[in-house]
Amino acid sequence: MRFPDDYMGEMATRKVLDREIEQLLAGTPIEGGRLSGLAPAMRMIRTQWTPSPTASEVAQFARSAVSAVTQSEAKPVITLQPRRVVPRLGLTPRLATVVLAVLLMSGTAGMAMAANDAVPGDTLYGLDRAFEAVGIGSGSAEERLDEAVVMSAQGQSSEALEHAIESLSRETEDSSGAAAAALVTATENLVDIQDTAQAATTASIRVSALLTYIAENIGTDEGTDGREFGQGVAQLARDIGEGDDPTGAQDPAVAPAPGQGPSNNPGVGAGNEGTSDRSVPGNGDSNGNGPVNSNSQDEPTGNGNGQGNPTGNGGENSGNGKEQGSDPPVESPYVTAPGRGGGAPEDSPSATVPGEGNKP
Amino acid sequence: MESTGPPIQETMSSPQHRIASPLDPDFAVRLRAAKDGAEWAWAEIYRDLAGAVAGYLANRGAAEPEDLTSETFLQVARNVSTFDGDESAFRSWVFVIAHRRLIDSRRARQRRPETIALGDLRGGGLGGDVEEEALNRLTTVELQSAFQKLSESQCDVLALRIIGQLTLEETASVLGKRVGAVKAAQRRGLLALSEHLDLDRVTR
Repeated sequence: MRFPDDYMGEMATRKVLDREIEQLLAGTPIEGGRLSGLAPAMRMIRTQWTPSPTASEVAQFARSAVSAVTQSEAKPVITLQPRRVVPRLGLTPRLATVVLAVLLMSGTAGMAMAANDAVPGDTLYGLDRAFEAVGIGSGSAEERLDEAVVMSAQGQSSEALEHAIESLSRETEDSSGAAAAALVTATENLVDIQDTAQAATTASIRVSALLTYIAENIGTDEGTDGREFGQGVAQLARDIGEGDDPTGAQDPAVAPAPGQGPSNNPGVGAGNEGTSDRSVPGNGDSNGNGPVNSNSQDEPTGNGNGQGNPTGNGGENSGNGKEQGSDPPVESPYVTAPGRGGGAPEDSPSATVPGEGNKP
Repeated sequence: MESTGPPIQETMSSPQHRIASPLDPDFAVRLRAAKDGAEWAWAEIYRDLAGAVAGYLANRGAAEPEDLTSETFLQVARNVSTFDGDESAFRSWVFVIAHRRLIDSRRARQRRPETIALGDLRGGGLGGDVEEEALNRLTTVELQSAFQKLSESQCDVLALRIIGQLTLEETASVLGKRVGAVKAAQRRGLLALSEHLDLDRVTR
């Protein structure tokens, strides 16, 4: 493993800072430290910005809550009738055997289909390879690449890259060679950048982008000798090593253009703060800290001026553009990642979606 | 756990209403009662959480934080039968609903959040001790404008952690982020906040 020189020191600093933050938020006094000046502000926020409801408000809500609960309980309950275990169809024993055989066979086909979507690490993956060995499911490099895309979407970036490299090394086409070389670069870059959860997230988005691009474009590159494909994958692979806006890596058609450098990150605004995570906290932050209402973050020129104009009104369009621009790449890995920290939202999905669920 | 046995065991024995974590018997009883439509339980829930939810919604730019708060809690009441979990999970769940309501209302209005004037909120009393002097120097206006300079996700995280009083894990689950991402956002947010506050004082 290669770490940047200041990696260990920075991790230690973060740990100290994290501990100070917990003390600050818990209201425990902290001696010294960069955040001690915030203690009065925290106290003020908690005392002034959390209005306690009046007794009459509490009583009023409690009454309406009770009727809301009873209303939702009063909704018709759909109960499933228990089915008979043996359907009485009047089948002769021989016909029943035929039906059973058909059911068994279609069961096998269904299983093969289910297994075909399995990725390494899944229970069904061995079955997938077994079915491929007897000719069910293609077992081609494309399928391996699709599996790699799924794995990277599940957050297993390095495993996904390894899997893709392994499958491409068995191919002979030129484009496979270019793709495999790009994937090796990507793997190296990935080791460099995995130092924070946010960087890892950015990296995994980019690994997904790279693998998706390879899976979709390999072998379909007509008339360009695979040059465009090679440039596309190489650029996407380089992007993985850069603490840049992941949205910049989404479109490989524009990515190979020169001037795409690590310092060029206009539009890294609200939802993406922290993607350039190695910057020194406090002064590397000017991109993420623009005034809420300013439109400076949305300017494509990215002049880096995020400080002034706190009351300036960025207008309606700037707000929308920013939300749309920053939300999808940040949200997506969490949506697809399984096994994320549990809790109520997962336990009761129907309850967490507003406007859905128990309305009578 | 044995001493508070009867109500707990009653809840545990009913399979549809199994409480995921029986660690907090008081909350389990309250939740059970709330599901049964007991007025006292809903009063306690509202008293506990309404201030934090309203403060969060106001800080994050809700146009009518009070309306949104009551909508949030009515939805909690309508959907409570589908909830299972301990107090921490419940708190997260309430804030998930509040957060989604907020986003919906923003979309409906199709514009950027504006942080409301603090005069609109009923202020609690200030604690009178050593920090009072510092508190007086630090006006709410200063703090509000410092908050406005943070990024959206920093504001989300800090509002949930400070005003919503959620833990790291709860905040992560409300926002659908990883704990590491929440930590990074609050580090940056708080450092920026302290920087802005210092800046403001120097320029005055």
